[in-house]
Amino acid sequence: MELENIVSSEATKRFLEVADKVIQLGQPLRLSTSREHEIRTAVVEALSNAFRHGSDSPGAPLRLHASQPDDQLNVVVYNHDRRFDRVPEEPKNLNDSDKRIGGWGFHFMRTFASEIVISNGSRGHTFVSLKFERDTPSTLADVSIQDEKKPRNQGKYE
Amino acid sequence: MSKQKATLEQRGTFWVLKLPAILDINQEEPLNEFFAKVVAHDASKLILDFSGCEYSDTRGFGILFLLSQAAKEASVDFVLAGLTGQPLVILNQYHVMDQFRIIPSVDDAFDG
Repeated sequence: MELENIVSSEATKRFLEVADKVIQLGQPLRLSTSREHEIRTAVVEALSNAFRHGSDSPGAPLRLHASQPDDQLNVVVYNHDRRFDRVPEEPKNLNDSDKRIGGWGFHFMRTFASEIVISNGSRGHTFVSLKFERDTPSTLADVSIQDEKKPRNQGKYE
Repeated sequence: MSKQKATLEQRGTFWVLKLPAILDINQEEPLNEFFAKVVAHDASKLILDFSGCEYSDTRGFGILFLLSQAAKEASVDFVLAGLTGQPLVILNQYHVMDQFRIIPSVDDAFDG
């Protein structure tokens, strides 16, 4: 799926529409309603991150590829003009006196996905691949960063 | 009433802030304006009505946390009402539910 001409005021609504299509694709997994909310949230956060942090190229379309092999749901989000040199830090606990708000989007991607692979491409872009399983993972997903490689679901974006 | 915009209603010294269908960064400015109005009127209680809120992203929750801190500093009772669906599922994941006073519906705030 490709999203073009996104404006900030409508961004979340459009990301939700895409996330709902991903959920539809995952129907064979018989996801619980709660699990659907979790996956929807992770997908929207992945798109939102790509939208907000790819601002060096205004108007660049966002792309997402989703597939449903076996008992899992795979999602790849293309980040234009963004590279990851390290895994984003976990946010501070909101119970701490120093209450920073940032960083929770990636935290929820790690909470709800069972695996995250960040592939830094040769042209300064990044593919963020998320693997979801039927049930909520019991631990935060491991995150690996690969350079100059294509993502797990390489190929044409639809 | 638009589902896309937050609305504020005064009921005595209580104020009800009805959240829109989508809570994200675009709501930061209107919610802050509403909160300033509530504080200016010496409100005793601010009830955030989630009954029409279908989705909040992490930035929307961020606004919520900041408002709750500001309410505490202003001695305004900050109450969440009508939480269901995605906002409830995700708020549970923050492990901060005990920081908020949560009630089933706005009407319960007036009964209690």
